[in-house]
Formats: sequence, structure tokens, C-alpha cells
Amino acid sequence: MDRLGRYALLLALALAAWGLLAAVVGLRRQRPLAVESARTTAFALLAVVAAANGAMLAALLSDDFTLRYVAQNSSRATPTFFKVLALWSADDGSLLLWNLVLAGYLAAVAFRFRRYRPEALPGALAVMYAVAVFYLLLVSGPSEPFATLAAPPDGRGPTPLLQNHPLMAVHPPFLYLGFVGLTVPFAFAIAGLVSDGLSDRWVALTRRWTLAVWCFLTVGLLLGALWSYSVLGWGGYWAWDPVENAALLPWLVATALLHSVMLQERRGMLAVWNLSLAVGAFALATFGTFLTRGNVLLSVHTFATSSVGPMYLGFLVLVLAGGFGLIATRAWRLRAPGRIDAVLSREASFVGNNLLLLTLTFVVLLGTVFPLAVEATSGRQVTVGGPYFRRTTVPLLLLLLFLAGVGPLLPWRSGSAGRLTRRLRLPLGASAALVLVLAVGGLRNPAAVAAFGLATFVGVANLAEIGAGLRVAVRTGSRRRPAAALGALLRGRRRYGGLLVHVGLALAALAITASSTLARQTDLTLSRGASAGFAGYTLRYEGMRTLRQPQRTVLVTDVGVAKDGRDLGRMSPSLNLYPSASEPIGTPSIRTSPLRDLYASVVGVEQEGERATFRFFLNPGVTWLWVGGAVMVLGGLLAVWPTRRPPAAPRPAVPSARRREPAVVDRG
Amino acid sequence: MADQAAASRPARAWARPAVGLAVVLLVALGALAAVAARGPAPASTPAERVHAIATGLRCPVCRDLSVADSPAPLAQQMRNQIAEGLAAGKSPEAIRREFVAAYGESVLLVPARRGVGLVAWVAPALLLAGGVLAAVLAVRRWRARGAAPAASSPSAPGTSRADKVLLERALARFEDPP
Repeated sequence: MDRLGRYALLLALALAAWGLLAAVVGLRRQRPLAVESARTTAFALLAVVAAANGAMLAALLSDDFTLRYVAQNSSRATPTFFKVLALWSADDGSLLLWNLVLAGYLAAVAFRFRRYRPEALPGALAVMYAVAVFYLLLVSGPSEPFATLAAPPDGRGPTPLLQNHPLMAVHPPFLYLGFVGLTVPFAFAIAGLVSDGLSDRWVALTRRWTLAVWCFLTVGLLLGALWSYSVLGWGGYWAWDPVENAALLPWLVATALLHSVMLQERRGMLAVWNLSLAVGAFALATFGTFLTRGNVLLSVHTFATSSVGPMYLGFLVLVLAGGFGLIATRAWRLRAPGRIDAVLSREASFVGNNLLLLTLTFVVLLGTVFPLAVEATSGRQVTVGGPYFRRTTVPLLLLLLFLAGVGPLLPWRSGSAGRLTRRLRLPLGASAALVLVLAVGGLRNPAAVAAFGLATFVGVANLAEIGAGLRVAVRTGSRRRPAAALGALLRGRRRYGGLLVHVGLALAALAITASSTLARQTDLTLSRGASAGFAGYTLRYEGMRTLRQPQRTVLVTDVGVAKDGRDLGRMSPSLNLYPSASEPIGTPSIRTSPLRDLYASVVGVEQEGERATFRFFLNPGVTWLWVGGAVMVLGGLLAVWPTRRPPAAPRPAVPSARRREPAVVDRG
Repeated sequence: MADQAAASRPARAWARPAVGLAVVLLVALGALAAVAARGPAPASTPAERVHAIATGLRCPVCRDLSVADSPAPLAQQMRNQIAEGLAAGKSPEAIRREFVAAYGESVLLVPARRGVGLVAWVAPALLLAGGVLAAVLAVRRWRARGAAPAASSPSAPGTSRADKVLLERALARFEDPP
């Protein structure tokens, strides 16, 4: 298996190098044949990288401990499901998956532009192949996934935290789809910059790609938060861990980009700014993987050491210097004189949106690298943790919420105060009523009151916009009501998708505010049979069971839950003992309900389970974070869904005579 | 467009709802100001006072969780130590100093507001101020251009976006770099 994998990676490297060469030749010498070769090579590359991943998977499933990676990250007792997941549970394997995703995007670009060949295609392919060459060099040199050793009798098994929850099956792949996907807008942006015609068509070409990538990133972040909430047992879902921050940074910039490209599409403004955002998003995604894989940080996410750091740093410098260098030397010619008709306009709100998102990005980046920078320069150790991030980001987030409510109400070009006033009536009224109720009700945290008010404002404003649009469609449409509304929703999917994302954002903001400011917690040590009260619940420790599983021993504690004398059943937080871990790993037990979660984790057991120490949390509203996140992704998907009507993009000049399938157009 | 129609109506047509909205806004802001003036609830129970201090301390064995959040045994010990300190009548600041003496400055989850640590606090504010200034200047410049005679601008009404890009591109070939 190691030979197959290693040869596959070498072949992949050769293919990527060929693709790069062919694309560059095709670009410089205007050779369509070379471009065609570069395009089709992408499919071969995908097949070969998939073979390398398959080889690793086969080795994992067949307990081939001659492979160092398998010996370190799997064991005979590991359940099959987690053997598969071990493919991405450590650095070397996850780089293999990374390469697979990148090759997948290359093939997707090659397939998407099989008939319609934009001018930027050869350049974009060249950039993507160059990135692929870098990542393939990583796995054939500094990181050696197929390194062998004298086979030990059994492997060490995956890191306990990673084999503790099935969410690990989906969280990393989605994040990778997001991170790697940012290569596509980056590649087309660079291609436009280096082409003779100096085109800015990348915005139109990659708009839906960027949107899809944004959806992947959002899902990845949400799954990460859900994993943290349901595995780590500390009652929270976001710890401002450097690696969480590293995943948040590209999301913030991608969100800014999705908003500001609309200014370029509609008004021809900000061409240079958008190029910088595309380069910045890709650079931050690279930086994030550098942080996690380069062993720079010690955090829950840094599971292994590897020597890929310096190469990453070099690549990052190349991306930044190359990208911004090109922008500085060539992009000025793309500058168009910007024009705004009024301050009360959609355009101005997008400027504010970008300002806030970029400041937010800077603050999170600063807080993440600050300890590293201080330690590198002065040798002193400082910590930048949750309290810092909360204090610096909450004001910015509140302002962003305000814009997410007002922005969609403002029309393009110029708004009239009258129209705005009419549209503000309902959302502002609802939000003011809530603020008043909360203030009278005795909530004493001004930031929380403001956040509740603003989130209500955003939700009502955007829902009302959707409602108003659909009502007009129903009134003027000739079809039956639901059909007319659905038709309007699908016709205006870009607009309604965006509004729906804002509705999801409002739900998530409500949930985050409620759970971070109204949560309660307690530590209780209970003897078997004893009970204690917490937040209206009666919690009774019923005893401990021991489950022996092949790969671990699970100590399950049973806690009976009752409220107002009514039995609500049982919660069973557990401690998992893995042979490879010195400390037990907890699994919390969560009773979810729409309004509040009762969350129990067991901290320790004494005297064979006669006494146990628990940590209980009452977390209000967490469910709505997942619901809100799902609505955001739904809105993104609505906006990304292809339109049947082709927009006014130039069709290929010469239609292929041999085309057999009906021409289903899915461009944009 | 509907908003043009609305704008051409006499000003009083929207003046009344605007006044109503202003009142609603004032009530909401007033309520918010009252909440802010009242201040946060003082930590009354001993557990709350321990929690307040523990959220600002880093659990030394888990890096990314605070002493309040961490389920680690050491964090439990540290919470007990805080509780004992408070029971002995020490001030929160004195307790924090003790932990810094024992674990170093990095036990505090927030960089100090002096020396190097000050950078982490000042830089975001400076950046935001700079960004606001740049955005305001840019919007003002763009507005001024909007008010200027349209014929001299390549983005004159009637010029389609495609035309404009073509024009820009053509012009760019003749212009020298600035």
C-alpha cells in the first residue's frame, strides 16, 4: 500500500506540474491545444490523488501497521467508522484529503468550463495547478503520509478526542471544502490580473463559487461549534481557540467579499478592493492551515508535530507578495471612478459592512497572533483569551447587526427618508418593545439588551422584506397563491437568499446572546442516591455503570432529572478511558429543548462510583444557534442555486457541432 | 420607482411616521441608557464572586479555557484557592496578583493595558478610526462625483456597465501609470 500511495503522489505531482506548464504555455502562446490538455489533466489528477487517498484508506481498514501513519492513528480495536475518519485525524492524512479536495475543485473548474471557455481559464488553471504543486510537494517531502516502519503488533489508535464523536466525520471535510474552495476566486482574480486584456470578469465568473464556498465554511464552522458543545464538556461552543479563530478569519473576509462584489457588479466600483479581498481570503485560509499544521500553536487542534511549517510560511509569503504585488503594479488600470448618489443607499451600507467585517478580521487576527508575536520578539508569554475577544468584537458585531437590518431596507442609488421610515416602522417598533420589556424586566447587561434588540430588528426587517416582496408577487401574479409566492422566491433567489441569510443571522445572534449572558452553571458532588437542586431541577445521582468496549472503557453515570415533582428521565454523562490517554475524556449529556438545554458533564468519580462530581449548565437558546446557522446555509444555497435563464454573459462564439446533449445552461 | 414617487410627495406625508419612529427610537435608547446606568448586578453569592475572577484566568493545563470553564482538576483547585482567598478577605486584585506570581503573566486571559500589551488594545481602535475616516472620505468623494456634471464621467447614466468596462480598458492602454 505504501508503494501505491507514494507512486500515486509522485504521479500526481508530475501531472500537476504538466498541468501548470500546459496552462502557462496555453496562456502565453495562445495555444488552445495546450489549454485543452491542462483542462483534461485535471480529471487525471483527481483520479490519481483519489487513488492515493484510497491507498491510505485501504491501509487503515486492513490494519497495515507498516505504515507509520496507520500505526500512530489507528489500532485493531478502533471501530471501522473511526478507522475511516483516521484518514483526516492527523496532519499527514489530512494533507492527503486536502489534496483530494483541491484536485476535486480543479476537476470541477475543468468540467464547468468544458464548453464555455472564458478568457481567464488558462490563467486560473495555472494558478490552481501551482497551488496543487505546492500541496503535492508537501506530501511527498516534508510530510510523508506513506512513511513506513517495522510494523508494531498494534497501532496507537486515534487521538481520543477525535474518536469520541461522529461529528468528526463531517466537520473537517466541510472546512476543507471551504478553505480550499477559496482557491477558485483567487485563481480567477489573479488570472484576470495577469491577462493582457486585464479583465475583472472574475467577479461574475466566480460569484456562485464564492457563495458555495461560503456555505461550506459556514457549515464547517457550525459543525465545529457543535462538536465543541457536544464533546468537550465545558458547556460552551466557541472558546476563541486560535484554530477556531483561524477558521473564522477566511469566513469573515469571504462574507465581506460577497457583499462588496455587488458594488462592482452593479456600479463598477471597488475593483481593486475586491481583488485584495480575494487574495486576502485565500491568504488567510493558507495562514489558518499553517497555524494548525505548522505546529506553531499548542491547542486542542494541534495533534501532531510536523516539519511542514517553513514551507507553508514560504508559500504564504509568495501568495501575499505575488498577489498584492500584482494588484499594486497592474490593478490600478481597473480602477473605475466610483460614484454614490446618497449616503442613505445600499452602496453606503456595503461600505460600512466591509469596514466592520475587515476591522473584525483584523481584531481576531491580532488577538490570535499577538501571543506568538510577543513571545517571538521579547520572549515573554502573554495570553489573549475569551475576555479580550469579547470586549473587542462585541461592539463591532452589534454595529454589523444594525447594518444587517438597515442595509436591505435601503434601495440602491438613493433612498428617500420617507420610504425608509415606512419600512423601518415594524422592525424598529418590535425591537424597541423588546428592549423596553427587557429593561423593565431587570436585565442588567446593556450589551445583551442591545444585542437582543438589534437581533430582533434584523430578523423582523429581513422577514418583512421577504414578506413584502412575496405579497406583491401574489397580488400581481396570475397563478394560485403558493405557486406565485414560490415562483417569486425562486426568481428572486439571489435577493431572497441574502435576506434569508440575515434572518438566520438574527436567530443565531439571539441564541449567542442568550446563551452567553443568561447561562447558569453549578458544580455538584453527589453520593449515590443523593440529590441536589439546580435552577428548578432536582438532580439525583443514581450510580455508575462500567461499559467495556474494545477500544475504551466507559464509565457511565446516571442522573435522574425531575422538575416540579415531575420525572423527566435520566441523563448519562460519561467518562471515557482510552489506553493511549492518561486523562479520562468526558462525554457530556445534553437534554435539548427549544428554549433551554440542561447540560451535564461528569468531572470525576471517587470510590468506584460511590461519589461523583458533576458540572451542570442551564444554557438558554442554544438550539436556535443551530437553527439559525441552518437558515443561513439555506439562504446561501437558495442564492447559489443555478438560474435557468442565462444572464447576459457572452455565449461561446462557435457552438460545438458535435454537442449531443440538450443545452442545459448553468452558467454564472 | 416607488421611492421617487414618495420623495416627490410633500414632506409632511412622511413627517408624522418619522416623528413616531423618533419617539420609539428615543424610548428604546432611553431604556438602554437606563440599563447601562444601573450597571451590572454585583456578584452577590460567593460562587458568583469566584466565577467572576475565574473567568479572567487561564487554566494553565488547557490553554484555551478559562479557570471558570475548564473541567480539569487543576482548574478546580484554582477555583478553591480563589474561594479561600475571598473568604480570607483578599481583594480580587490581590488574588489575581498571587496567581500571576505563581504562574506568570500568561495566566491572565487578557493582555495588560501597559507595555506591549497596550498594542493589543490600541491597535483595533486606531484601525477602526482610520477605517471610518477612509470610508467617510471615500463616500464623500464618490458623492461629489455623483453631483458633478454627468457627461464628464464615464459612469454617466445611459452608459451600460459593459460599455464602461470597455471604455476603461481602452483608456487604460493609452494612459501612463500615475
